[in-house]
Amino acid sequence: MKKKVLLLVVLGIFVLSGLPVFAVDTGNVVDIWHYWTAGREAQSINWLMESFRKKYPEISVEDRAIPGSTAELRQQLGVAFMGGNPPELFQVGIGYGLKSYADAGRLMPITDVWTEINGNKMFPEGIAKMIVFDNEAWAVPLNIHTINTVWYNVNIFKKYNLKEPKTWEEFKHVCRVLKEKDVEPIAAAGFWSVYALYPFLITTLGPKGYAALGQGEISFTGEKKVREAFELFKEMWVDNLMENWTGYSWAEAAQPLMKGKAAMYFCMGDWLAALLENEGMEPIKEFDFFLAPGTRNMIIGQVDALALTKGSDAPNLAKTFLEFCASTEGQRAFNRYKGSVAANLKTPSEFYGPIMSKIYHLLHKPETQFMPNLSFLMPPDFYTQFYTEIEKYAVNPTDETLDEVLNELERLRSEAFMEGKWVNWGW
Amino acid sequence: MKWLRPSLSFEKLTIYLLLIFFALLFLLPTFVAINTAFKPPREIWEVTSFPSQVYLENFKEGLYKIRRGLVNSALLAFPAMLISTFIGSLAAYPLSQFKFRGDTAVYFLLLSGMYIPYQTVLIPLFFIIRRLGLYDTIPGLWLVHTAYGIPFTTLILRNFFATVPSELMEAAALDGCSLIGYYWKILLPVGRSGIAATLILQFRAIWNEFLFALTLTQSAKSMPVTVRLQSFVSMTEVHWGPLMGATLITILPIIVVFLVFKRYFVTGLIGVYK
Amino acid sequence: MKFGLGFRQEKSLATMLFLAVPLSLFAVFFLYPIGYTLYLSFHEWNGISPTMNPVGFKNYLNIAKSPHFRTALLNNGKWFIFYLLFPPGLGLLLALLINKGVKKGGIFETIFFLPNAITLIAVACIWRWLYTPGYGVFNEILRRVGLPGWTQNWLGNPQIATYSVMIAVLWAEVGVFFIIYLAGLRNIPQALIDAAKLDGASSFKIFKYITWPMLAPSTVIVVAFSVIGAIKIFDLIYALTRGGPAYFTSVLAVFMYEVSFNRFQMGQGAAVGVILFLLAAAVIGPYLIYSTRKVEAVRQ
Repeated sequence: MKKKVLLLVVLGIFVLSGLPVFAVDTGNVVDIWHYWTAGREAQSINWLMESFRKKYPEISVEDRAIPGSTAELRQQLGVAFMGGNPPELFQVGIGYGLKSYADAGRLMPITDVWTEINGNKMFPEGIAKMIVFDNEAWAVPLNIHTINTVWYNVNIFKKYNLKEPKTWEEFKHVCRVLKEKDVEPIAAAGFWSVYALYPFLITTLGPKGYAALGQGEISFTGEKKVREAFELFKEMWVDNLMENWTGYSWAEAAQPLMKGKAAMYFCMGDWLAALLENEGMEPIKEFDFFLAPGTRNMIIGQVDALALTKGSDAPNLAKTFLEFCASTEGQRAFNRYKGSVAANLKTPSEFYGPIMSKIYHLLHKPETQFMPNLSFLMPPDFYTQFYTEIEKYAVNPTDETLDEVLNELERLRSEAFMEGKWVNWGW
Repeated sequence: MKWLRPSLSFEKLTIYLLLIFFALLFLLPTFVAINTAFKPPREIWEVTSFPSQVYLENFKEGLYKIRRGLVNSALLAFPAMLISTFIGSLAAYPLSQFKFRGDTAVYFLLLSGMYIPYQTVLIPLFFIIRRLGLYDTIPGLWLVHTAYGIPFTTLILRNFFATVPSELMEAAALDGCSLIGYYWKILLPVGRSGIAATLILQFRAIWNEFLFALTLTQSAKSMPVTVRLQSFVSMTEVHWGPLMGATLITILPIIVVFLVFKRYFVTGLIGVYK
Repeated sequence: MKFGLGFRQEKSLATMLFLAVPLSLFAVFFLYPIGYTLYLSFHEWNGISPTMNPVGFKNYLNIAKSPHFRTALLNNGKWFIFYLLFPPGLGLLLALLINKGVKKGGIFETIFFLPNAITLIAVACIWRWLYTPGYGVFNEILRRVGLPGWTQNWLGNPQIATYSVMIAVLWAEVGVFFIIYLAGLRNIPQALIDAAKLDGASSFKIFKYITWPMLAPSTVIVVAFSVIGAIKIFDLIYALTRGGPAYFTSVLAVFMYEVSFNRFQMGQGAAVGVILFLLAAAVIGPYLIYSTRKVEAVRQ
């Protein structure tokens, strides 16, 4: 008797789960894939979609959040492209990432949308350079996350009478004072060392040189200034790092900053502000930022953009969505929760918190230049090995290691050069 | 025999002490998880403190977000556990009971499936599943877990079945038992230790599996809980509290399966000697 | 099935019948992907393009030149030693202890199996909390007990990070080994052991001459898991350290992931996959042959 009941139950389970097996009709739905899985980021994409739905109630828009980041999203996209059912839109980084999809023939150009919204004027020049190539425009940028921000604990600075350093000399002085007072000058986390290198590259090579490096035009071993940048990096950053920094993740490293054990957090993106606020620190009063010395007229940033795929079901509806994203309404909706500033320069700023407002004003100063994260310029194959080598040096900053690192980077650079991998973005 | 007692309890005492020692070591990390699950968001970074209140929001939020995932995982894991163990036992039977040309080669071949890194099979797998029309379905995942469970289940069952003495088969044949009958009536009951172990381990492997679950499902109606758990995590934010709350909930089915099937860890030979 | 066929023919028929489904599933789900991976390893492909370029052995050469690969290979060696000794050793020890028959043994069994049931992200989170240098549980405990000098940068110090991950893996995976040994122990007829005790054999002798040999099937399984675990290890390393700092804790599977999905070199990643596969086959193959014989002996 018991056996029969068990058998029925098992059969029932089989039947139940097999039932709703039919594929969903995707003919008129704009499907968006991204990796904003949780928290504020999830809120931002949701709010964007909600605002769109209010304006265009007749268009269906759905999303799928893929856990992870670029690599995992790309994995899923690869599978979808192979299978012939890609989503209409997906999150992509501008520059090389975007280009790799375009070159593979997986994207539909959106030049018509771009011209309609006057993209070249609407967005900072540095961004437009990485979206318009091969005579077409390929994506709509949503935001700018600034990464050359040096965050600091205001109370500590006040306590020791320190001012925001404007030059490397001043920075050095600040670190020295902090060390004397037994405060770790810089909090840091493993894996983010490469971001800290950028200001130094800009200091020695200048913004044009920085971009040229990203385009593979500068030799790592031949150009002295590259080595100088690394040495400055060691003197100013590596030597001032808190103890055991390699064992922290970026969020874990924020704790010492909050507790006052470390004074600064060098070149972490503006998502740090969201974390600190969440944990109860008051912006401007208790934590604030200054732009890294050497980059005071720049915003070095990364940009999330949406691109349109070829072979999806509803490209025209998707283009409507893209236009909405580019508009100030869309940009406001997305950036309200994201913790970044809108890419569309015309977006008003009243909804930003104090930190974001500050960044907004810096971005809008006439002399400010937008420079992309090197990862957008370089081939991913090279960039991945690039940041690993930087990390290697940061962990063991000796001259021998530096020689090894520079030689390896130069070897990789020439290899990529022979294979025609470098791209000239117009800098 | 009074003088025997002191040495007996000394041995028992050492065993108990060792067990308690290990148990504490094993419990410490789990305890950290449980501790965190009861904390309100502000206290989560104080890893070494206890919660100031019994904060149940984490469980509520965790459960709410993964509820459909739990159902899907259950619909996925229970049948898949049974099917994959069954198929494994099919392969294990001839490999353990019969000698034939190429038996080692077949055994090897099946086991070589275990060395494949699953990342590399994703794209071909996706093609196969789509071709069969099983993309984004739970039966599709049954198929996948059954197929990829073959090396694992075959390995365990073949070795457990091999402990069955060959005289049993001769005796059964004399009694007029067919080879298939032997499988059902004798081998399976005798091998129940191995089967129970396989069921437990398969259930846990399938329930906690992430990669296939992510790649082969897309909609809420088929997404297992392992993928749903990711909704607490993103590149810039991790919601530790609800994540721990949800995790503790997802552990329960595995423990239940474990408790149910471990009673079958007995020597299978009792009761067969008629 | 009593067709009156001879016993031998009936056996062949039964063999084919029983192996039919497993082998066909295997062919579809394993042979095809293995073949695909091999094919892919001789091409260059970025994972999204509809075409691939054939490049001969270039992927394999690039791998050999890479310092990351060499470090990863060495680390796999360390993991190999770890996996052969610790999870099986601890699993066996725990199973033996419990099998001695303690009251409420069930609670202990559950405690030892429990970590295995916890999902990977949570395991990674938990261990990061334990290992955070400044305020993690382990270092805090050391400080409070008066041993601040013993605190470590568990996951950030290249010298010890791999060992820290090993401890986490041991905790998370011993459950599997424990269950296999427990099932194996309980599978041994008590009659044999009782008989030996009556003959006056010591616990140690019983273990050496009865228990251990009769555990051969479990041992085969456990060693197979160990070797495969050592070669395939990925999840916890990637989740705890990403293979870092730089690539100091990396292993082949992490290298493969990075090459395929961060560097968008699917062909080269496939080549690493092929190397992994061959390595595993080379190590496990001979062992399986040897152990098959051993298990036969148990039957007698």
